[in-house]
Amino acid sequence: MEDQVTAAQRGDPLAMDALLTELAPWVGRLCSAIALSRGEDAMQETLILVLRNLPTLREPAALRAWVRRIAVRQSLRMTGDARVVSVPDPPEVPVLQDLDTVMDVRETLMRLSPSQRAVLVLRDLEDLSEQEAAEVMDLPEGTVKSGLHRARKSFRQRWEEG
Amino acid sequence: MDRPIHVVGGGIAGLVAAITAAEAGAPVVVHEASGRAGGRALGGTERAGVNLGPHVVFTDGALVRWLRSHHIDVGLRGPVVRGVRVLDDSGSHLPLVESARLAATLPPQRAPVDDSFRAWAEQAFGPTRAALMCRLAGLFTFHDDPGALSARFVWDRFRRTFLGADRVRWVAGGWSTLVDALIERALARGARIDLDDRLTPGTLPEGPTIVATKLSAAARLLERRLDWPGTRTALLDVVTAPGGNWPSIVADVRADLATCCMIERETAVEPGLLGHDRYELFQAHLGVGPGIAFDPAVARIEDALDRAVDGWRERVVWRRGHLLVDSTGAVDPPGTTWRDRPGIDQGDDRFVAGDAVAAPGLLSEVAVNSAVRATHMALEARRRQVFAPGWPSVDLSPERRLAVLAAALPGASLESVELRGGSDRGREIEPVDETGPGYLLGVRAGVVRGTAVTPSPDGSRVTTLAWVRWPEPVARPLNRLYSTLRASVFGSSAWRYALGRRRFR
Ligand SMILES: Cc1cc2nc3c(=O)[nH]c(=O)nc-3n(C[C@H](O)[C@H](O)[C@H](O)COP(=O)(O)OP(=O)(O)OC[C@H]3O[C@@H](n4cnc5c(N)ncnc54)[C@H](O)[C@@H]3O)c2cc1C
Repeated sequence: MEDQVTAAQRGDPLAMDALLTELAPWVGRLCSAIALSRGEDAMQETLILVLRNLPTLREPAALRAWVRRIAVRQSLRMTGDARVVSVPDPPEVPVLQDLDTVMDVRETLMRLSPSQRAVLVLRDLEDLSEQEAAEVMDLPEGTVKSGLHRARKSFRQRWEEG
Repeated sequence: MDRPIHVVGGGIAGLVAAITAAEAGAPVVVHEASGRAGGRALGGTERAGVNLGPHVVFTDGALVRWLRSHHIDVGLRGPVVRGVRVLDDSGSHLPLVESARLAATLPPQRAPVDDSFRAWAEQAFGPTRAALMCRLAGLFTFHDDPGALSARFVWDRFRRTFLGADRVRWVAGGWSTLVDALIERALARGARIDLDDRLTPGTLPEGPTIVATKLSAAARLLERRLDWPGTRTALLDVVTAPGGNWPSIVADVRADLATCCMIERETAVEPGLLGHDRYELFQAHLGVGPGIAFDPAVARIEDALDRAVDGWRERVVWRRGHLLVDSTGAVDPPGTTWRDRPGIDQGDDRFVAGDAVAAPGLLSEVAVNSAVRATHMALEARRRQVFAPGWPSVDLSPERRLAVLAAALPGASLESVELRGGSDRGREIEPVDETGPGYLLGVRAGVVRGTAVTPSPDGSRVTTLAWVRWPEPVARPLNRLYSTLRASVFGSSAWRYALGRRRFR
């Protein structure tokens, strides 16, 4: 993987293409979970930025973190939402991993704001800490925490209703 | 290991799958039944350097491309075309040379899927040449009657083998060198390879699993019907003491057979192959029909040796023979293409890879292509399990992929054409490379060309990317000039024709 990144940095089109194959499924998931119907566009913009700016990436090993950041921002830009809606502090946090497959995740995601979706994605899909998630989104940690709480609560409500 | 991807079988397909999965960051376990990974790419332990049959690779094929894109270095040697000896009934090589020349001048047409190669070639080349070409196709089909296979299947491969002979290579040191390089990479990337670990339906692991065995073994493991026509092939390997001025290749195309008997002197390509600098290795193969036993098949091969290789019998140091069944990959009968073969996705997060499943390419390229595809599917399945299920996701369509590349490559141009009603069959893509459905990207002589075909309501949409990489100091102004120039000719049919021709060269 790292050889591939280095070759792509040098502008080797086949390596760039291979990198797309490598990154696309993951970037596609990040983007569509945040930007929903504009997910494809967000993914395309993300991948263009990634390939164009690849030479500026100093540590090939840091690729994923770097791409994640770009993907989240492009998705938010696409939905015209750059700030998290703040909500009160969370009392308790349910575990999301146990969600039933039957539940319509998408419908629930639609009820959240794009930034709330972004926080949820970073915490629960990407397993980042609240601090890391805050860094990716360029927000204070407290804001991320509350955004996450809203997001999770919304999920749980759907879950309990349905 | 945390929710690994399991790979059953450590042949070319299994190793490629393991490397692909490990490089994507997933934990991988390879379960190999025998004591050594490599499968059919190993020649057996009797004699170092001796492959199981002849093994060539194509520089424009999926295996070499994949190795290159992963920076896995194996030495490749060009063919020795001096000393090709043709055994035919007339004693003249003319029809052979002639038909190759004729075929080379043909427009880059695809042969029909539904006709047999024999029926189509008779129309296109006349009965005499057609009969010869049918037999010659035994070289790469390993079949006893290649003329009876789909014209598309045989002609695609005929073109690659005989009209692109400059792209044929031998792997230095034999295919076990290749296997060693793959094993080394798989281990370096953290894959685990369990030897002497034969799985059964009862021990098939949970979770995403790639079954990379021969089709018959995959059918037993998954307890379902998976089959596709293959071949019966007789092999004879002979090591001799140094002899006279022996041919490097013998093509026995006598008309008593519907196929050919091919004999290659491997040591003509690589003199040191056997570790003993002057010993010679001959490897012969012959496709045989279902009714024919091993002994008469070997006798036929020996007869060809007698006629073409003077005094080989007295110098034999070692020999071995095999009759292989369904071991040289899939063959497609008329009316079918690779898309009709058993599918890679078998449901329940089980995927099959190998050289007889639904993937493009020639021989082991099918194994590589299907392995890469199966791994992407398995990785996706693993992500679905590891992450909360039900999350939305989107794929990168071939068209968007080209758009991304075009935006990232300075001075690249992108052109889309709508094709109505599938009338333009010449532009249909038969990828040699598993870069995605209906998608092909290649670099030749500094020119990058990508083509994507996306189905649209009544026809298909073909998107073409073109980009030239100029040397650094002149790159910028030239790129600008080139893309302006090209924009004006791009729509013209001349340009499109040029694109079409190149693809088939
Ligand atoms: C005579 C001959 C000539 C050829 N010439 C060429 C050529 O010129 N060019 C070319 O590209 N290709 C050529 N090929 C084809 C090429 O060798 C094969 O396509 C390729 O090696 C297939 O690899 P594979 O991984 O799909 O299968 P295999 O190599 O068969 O690997 C399958 C592996 O699975 C293991 N296995 C089976 N069952 C189980 C189980 N239950 N549990 C665990 N493990 C199991 C086996 O031990 C084996 O190691 C040739 C083949 C032959 C026979």
